[in-house]
Amino acid sequence: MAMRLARQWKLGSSQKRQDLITAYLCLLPWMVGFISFVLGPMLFSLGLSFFRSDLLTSTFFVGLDNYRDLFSEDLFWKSLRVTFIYAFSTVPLGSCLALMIALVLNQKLLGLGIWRTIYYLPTVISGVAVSLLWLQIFNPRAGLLNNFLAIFGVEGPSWLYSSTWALPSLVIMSIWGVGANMLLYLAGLQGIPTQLYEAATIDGANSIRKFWHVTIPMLTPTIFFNITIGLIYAFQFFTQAFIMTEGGPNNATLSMVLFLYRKAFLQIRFGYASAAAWVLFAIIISFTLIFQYSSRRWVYYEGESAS
Amino acid sequence: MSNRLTRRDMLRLSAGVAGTAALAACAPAGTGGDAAAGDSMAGSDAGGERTQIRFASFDWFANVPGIQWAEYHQDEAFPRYYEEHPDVEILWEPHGDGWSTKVLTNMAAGTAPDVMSVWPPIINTWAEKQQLLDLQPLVDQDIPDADDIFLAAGWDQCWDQITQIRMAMVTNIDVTSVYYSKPAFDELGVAYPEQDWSVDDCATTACALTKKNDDGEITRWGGQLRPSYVLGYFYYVEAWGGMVRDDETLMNCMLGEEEALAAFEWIRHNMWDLNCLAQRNQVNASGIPNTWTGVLPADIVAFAERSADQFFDLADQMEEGSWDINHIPTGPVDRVCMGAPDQWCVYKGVADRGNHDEVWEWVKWIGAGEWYQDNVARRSGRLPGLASAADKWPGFLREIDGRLEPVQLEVIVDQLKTGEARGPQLFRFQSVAEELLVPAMEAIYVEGSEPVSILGDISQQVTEAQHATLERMG
Repeated sequence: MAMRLARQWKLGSSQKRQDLITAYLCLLPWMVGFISFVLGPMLFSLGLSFFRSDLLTSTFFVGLDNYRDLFSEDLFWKSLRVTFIYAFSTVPLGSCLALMIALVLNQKLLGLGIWRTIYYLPTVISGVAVSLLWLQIFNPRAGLLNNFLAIFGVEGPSWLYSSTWALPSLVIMSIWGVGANMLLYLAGLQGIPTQLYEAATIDGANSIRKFWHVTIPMLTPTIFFNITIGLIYAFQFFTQAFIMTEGGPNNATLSMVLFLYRKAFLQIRFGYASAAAWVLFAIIISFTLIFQYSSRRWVYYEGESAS
Repeated sequence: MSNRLTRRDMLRLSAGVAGTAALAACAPAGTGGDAAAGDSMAGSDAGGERTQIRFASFDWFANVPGIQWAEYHQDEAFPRYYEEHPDVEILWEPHGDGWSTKVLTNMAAGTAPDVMSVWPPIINTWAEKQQLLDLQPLVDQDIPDADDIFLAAGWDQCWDQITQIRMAMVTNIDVTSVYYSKPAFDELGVAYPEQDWSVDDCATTACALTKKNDDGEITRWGGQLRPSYVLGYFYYVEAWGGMVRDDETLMNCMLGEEEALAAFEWIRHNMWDLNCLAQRNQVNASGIPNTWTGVLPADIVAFAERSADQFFDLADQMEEGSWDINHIPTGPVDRVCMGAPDQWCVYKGVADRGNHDEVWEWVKWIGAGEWYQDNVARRSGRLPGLASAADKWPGFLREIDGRLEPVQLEVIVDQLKTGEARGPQLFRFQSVAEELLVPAMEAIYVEGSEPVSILGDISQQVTEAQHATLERMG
């Protein structure tokens, strides 16, 4: 990078050098922010994960002990299980729903702009407000959901107050945020050239075949993006569990981030919490890389030659 | 001359702005009035004339309608203090949501406020981590009669048994009492609770007051124990003569012992088998907007254990004279309820900041000064830690709201003075204990899915976890 920069500097005209300076000056604020507030703390946290530290009194180097202790703690495995169930439920569910809504809103409907706004609107509401709203919806006796189920003679569960139903409740609640994914799918759908559908029609394809053989392949970059980002966010879920259930009942909604928050800020074990954070980071990066690698086999980018 | 901004000008301007910002960021703090400034700030302001004290307090503290705790300080308390101490400036910092997390990170950075509102067990953790100034030498010097003038229920909890330091001064003390709705009792011809009622009386009364509709569904429960925090049930262990943990090391969990299990079983039986005491989720599921102060007005329960923060809400929502306060029922051995203080502690950093003496003068003024402590009652409605101010508290409340005239507010002062109201028996590593105890208590009482006997195993695990934590700390 540095050599490339030096070569550019050496070979460039005075104008090009000025452009280079301008470009780097424009990048500088972001880079300073990134190094100071993201990369720096990340590296600090990585280092801290090898120490037994409360950041207040004492710090001892313990090598891999924090990681060893972490892997032998039952609560860590429980939080990991909760996180995996949440991530691998919400992401496919959210993606499918978002795609379905996008397909509907891609039709020529009356008041299309209004519908799109309505579906996107929940996304701009803060997580705390959404959590408080869903607390009411999930209320076992007075909540909207159980009253709706009662219309069909179904007695709803205790939702957030039951260790069986608390996590499914948070999964259901995640549907609230499909608007953002929906918007991306909508953009993807509108980018599909109409001639592909015309060609498919000429070839005698019905709607279902057009969906599977034109729409889905052309949407794979968007699907890839949505699922990747969705997984990264889902693995870090915290606000809902923190506000609505505090990880309970009986740790049924203890996410990994909530687990490490408790270790860091309630038990003041910053080294241990850093180790947990890095394990979570390793899990997220592993899934992202696996997904990235697999994308070569199923994601189709326009302009690529079909092989 | 052209007014056009060239790219060169733009770059110069940007560099100038960035340079200024960098210089400003690197300049020593404490030259302005920014309350959030760092460690180096404290001593004095720009002219070196007024010593600054950073004072972090709960901004939601006042229960009295129309009183904002921050405004009260800015408009009344600070100006009054300045009359006596013109050389000092108090910088108000509100403790908002997540205050304890924020203060902890400030402590790690060495930038915690000089004086902070706090409560147990957070303060005990801060003491364990050596972040607090020991106030005992200052108390010995300036308030030698402290043990007599402060209510023991609050004052004793300002002493940390592990580190042997005076952690704080008392702001106020919260007390759990039984609040009851007279019409609910009158409707079914049930006698109001006597002052010395027992847990058996409590259970009988609760069952007599529980109402069902034609389908057999409960429409009103007789009573509800303090619901917000499952570990609040630990007071009943003491009422049965048991202990939460040993008194010496604070690490050996005793919740698996006979007395504790008997107390827990009494609660579970009345809550889940008889269901005369409402389960937490049953009240939450009632759909009333406020499950804390709203249960009596909404007739969800006939009596409820609650904090000393109900008065003005109940006066607004219920007819005058239709509700009252009583003692917690007496257990087989003792009568015990929560008496938990809010406190002011001093960050250890003041020793280096140069405002140590001024900070102590301020803390002494708010903690032991009659004017301020009276105003804890008058302006916030809460029970002051200074005994003389606590005595005046019922009168102050009735001055504020005449509808409190028939309410036996004196019961609460009595609870404090007789030793009924006590601090919780905290473990040495409370959060470590809670990690095991809260899920277990939730399984027993929130879900009703486990018997109390699981506490035998859990108790063992808590003890092991306490000792493992101590070992880990070296």
